[in-house]
Amino acid sequence: MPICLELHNVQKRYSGISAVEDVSFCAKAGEVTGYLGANGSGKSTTMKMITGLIERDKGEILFEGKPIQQDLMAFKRRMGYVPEEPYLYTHLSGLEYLEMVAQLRGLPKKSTAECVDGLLRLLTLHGDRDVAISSYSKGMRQKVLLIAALLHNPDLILLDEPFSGLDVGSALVLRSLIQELASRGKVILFSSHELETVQKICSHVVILHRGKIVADDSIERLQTLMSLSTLEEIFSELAVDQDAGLISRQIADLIHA
Amino acid sequence: MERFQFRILYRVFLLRVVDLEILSADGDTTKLLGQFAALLAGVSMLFCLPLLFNGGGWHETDLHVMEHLFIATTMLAVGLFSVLSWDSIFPDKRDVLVLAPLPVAPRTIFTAKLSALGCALGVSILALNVFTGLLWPTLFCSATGVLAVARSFAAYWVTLLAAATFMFFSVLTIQGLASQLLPRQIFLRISAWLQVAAFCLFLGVYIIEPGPATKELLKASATHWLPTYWFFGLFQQLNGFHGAMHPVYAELAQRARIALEIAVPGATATLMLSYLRTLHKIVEAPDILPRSRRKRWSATLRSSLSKAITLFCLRTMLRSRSHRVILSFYLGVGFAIVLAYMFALYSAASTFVSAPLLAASILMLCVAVGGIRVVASMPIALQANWIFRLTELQPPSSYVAAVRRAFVVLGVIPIWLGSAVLFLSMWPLRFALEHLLILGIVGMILVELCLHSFPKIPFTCSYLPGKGNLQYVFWACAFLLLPLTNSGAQIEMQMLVRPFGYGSIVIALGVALTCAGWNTAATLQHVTNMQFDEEEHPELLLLGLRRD
Repeated sequence: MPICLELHNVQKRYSGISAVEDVSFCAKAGEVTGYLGANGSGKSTTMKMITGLIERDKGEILFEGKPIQQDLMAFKRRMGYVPEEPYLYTHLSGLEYLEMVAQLRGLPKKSTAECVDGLLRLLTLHGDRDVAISSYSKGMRQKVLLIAALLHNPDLILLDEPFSGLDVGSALVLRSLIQELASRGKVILFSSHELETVQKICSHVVILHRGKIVADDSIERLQTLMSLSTLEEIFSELAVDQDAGLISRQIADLIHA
Repeated sequence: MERFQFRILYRVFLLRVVDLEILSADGDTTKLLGQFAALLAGVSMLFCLPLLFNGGGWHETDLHVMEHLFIATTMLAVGLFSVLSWDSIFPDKRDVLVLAPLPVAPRTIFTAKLSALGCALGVSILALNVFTGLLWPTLFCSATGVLAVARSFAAYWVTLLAAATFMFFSVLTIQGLASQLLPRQIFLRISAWLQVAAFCLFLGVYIIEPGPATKELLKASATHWLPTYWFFGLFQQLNGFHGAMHPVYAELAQRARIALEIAVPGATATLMLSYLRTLHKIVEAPDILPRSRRKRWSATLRSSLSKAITLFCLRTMLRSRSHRVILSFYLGVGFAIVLAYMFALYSAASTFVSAPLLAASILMLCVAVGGIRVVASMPIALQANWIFRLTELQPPSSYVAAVRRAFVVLGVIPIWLGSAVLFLSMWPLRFALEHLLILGIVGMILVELCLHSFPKIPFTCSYLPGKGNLQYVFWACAFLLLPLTNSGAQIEMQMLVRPFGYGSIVIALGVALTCAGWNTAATLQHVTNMQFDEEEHPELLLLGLRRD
């Protein structure tokens, strides 16, 4: 059976208010699945449910056809996750943090040290490896998260806004890296607001609106079905309720600009 | 405008005396503050107990000892508070980032911070003297009549206020001077050591200094250098009682006035100066940075999980100022007690195997392990603990074993090594080794006790105020630990020279260690995951009964 991540009717409620409602989709190995939605639409909640950081109220999450809860530790060993916010232990240096993650994952010392060293060099973080993370920029923190997520060569990679804070060069590297990893048979679930990037690297998108899936198909098919040329137009049509022009005028009026 | 800004900032800073970010979602700040207030009021109540037992039969010297004790205790509490809030006097990085873009003058931030701290301090002093401050001036005023009671009352509170102000501003002056004279990074590095030194100094002086039993003692040159005596003299002068016009009181009171005149403007000037010079540096270098190109410390631990957790704990304690301060407090208490024991030993002119030294080493071990357990329950960055949740790839028992090793490495081994140096240099080899074996086993038992119902990775779980029942733990430790340790040390001293007796002690301790280990394992038997959020025990339990 090919590796794939499946969600079946997953639901999460906070104090009775639905954050994610009956979400079902499948992310396959070898392709990058874009997971799109406006702020508060439930993207990060879904990601956290997949990682096991928060519990779902209903539904099932399967990896390789098996419920992840069946052996959550085995699932975690095969998963890498870049969270939306770069929350790190800022009193540690970048290298110390990565060493700690490797130790927690029980990775072999020597090969991991080489791997960390190489990744730090490739992501231009090597010179700052002994500096405390509290002094890192947002982009540098994002790189640390990325290395921590890839260190153990996971089969499933969850990327929640991975381009946040990255400079142009690093963003280009990451974009190629995502495609490269997908071509090597990884399952990649990728959430972003940068629709142009999503259009370039994703073969399949899932669009979420107020906790519910409103589209789940390849970008080409969505373009044909909706007779729209770009992903931005598709997204605006399906998941944006606001009139951007009207709101901007109202804001300018409010501040008496 | 500035007054309005001050009011807003003052309220914000006052509410942030407790770090709300470490609290659990169920956490109740008022409960935590209530516990502290109850603890201080408990001390005040305790000081009133002699009244019940002694009634009105007080000699002048007894009264002097008690009055000096109130002043010394208040000064100690203020000193500890000032050292604990050492870092709070300056805004943190978040304060600066939020306030810097706003049109708020540094002067306003400074005064709001200082006022908020002063208010918190005032409430603490009030709680600490709530019973003594009412009873003692009423019962022991210089004469009868309403005016005499009012004078006595005013003398008591004015003296305490003056003593507290002196203490608070003196600590701030030292901090201000250090921050001015040293580069910021070096200041941040030595700040922790200054705090430990201050804790030890305050507690050591409090424990060792004699009460003013006689006027000869008051005339002694050493007492003229102790601030508690200056304010004791001031109290006597203001109260006009018990030979208050004696020249020694006037001299001491004069010293108190001079000290206040130096401390208050000194602290204001140095802090104003360092405020203006430090604000931008806080953004640039918010905390201690790891040394670049340093030699990496690599613990020889069995598993990589143990290594990860031990190094994480060590780095957190060395680099997090708030955790360091709390640990410093515990270590300071320990050092002060050890100092008192050593002082007693020195007075007795004995360096051979003695109970005070045995008790001191055991107490220091208790304080160190207990301190590490307390700081370990306070998170460093709750939002960053997702990485531990995500990498939870082993059963809880492996994590508990790793935490056990971390506690041993950080709490037991340093004290054991320090004791080894001390005992091997002072005592015959046999006795030193015998005690070190016992000390090691006691350390292991303490670690097991600390692991009881602690399925947590240190510094990662949220904190729930009130769950630890602070006041009960404090009083239990104060009343039980000292006499228990003293008795234990007496027994051990007698047994050290009797091989059979010594063997019995070792076997008994070994059994206790095994039982403690079983107990830890039993409490963790039903734990499926490590705990990252402290929760209130539910008042209603679901029985899970259903009709199928």
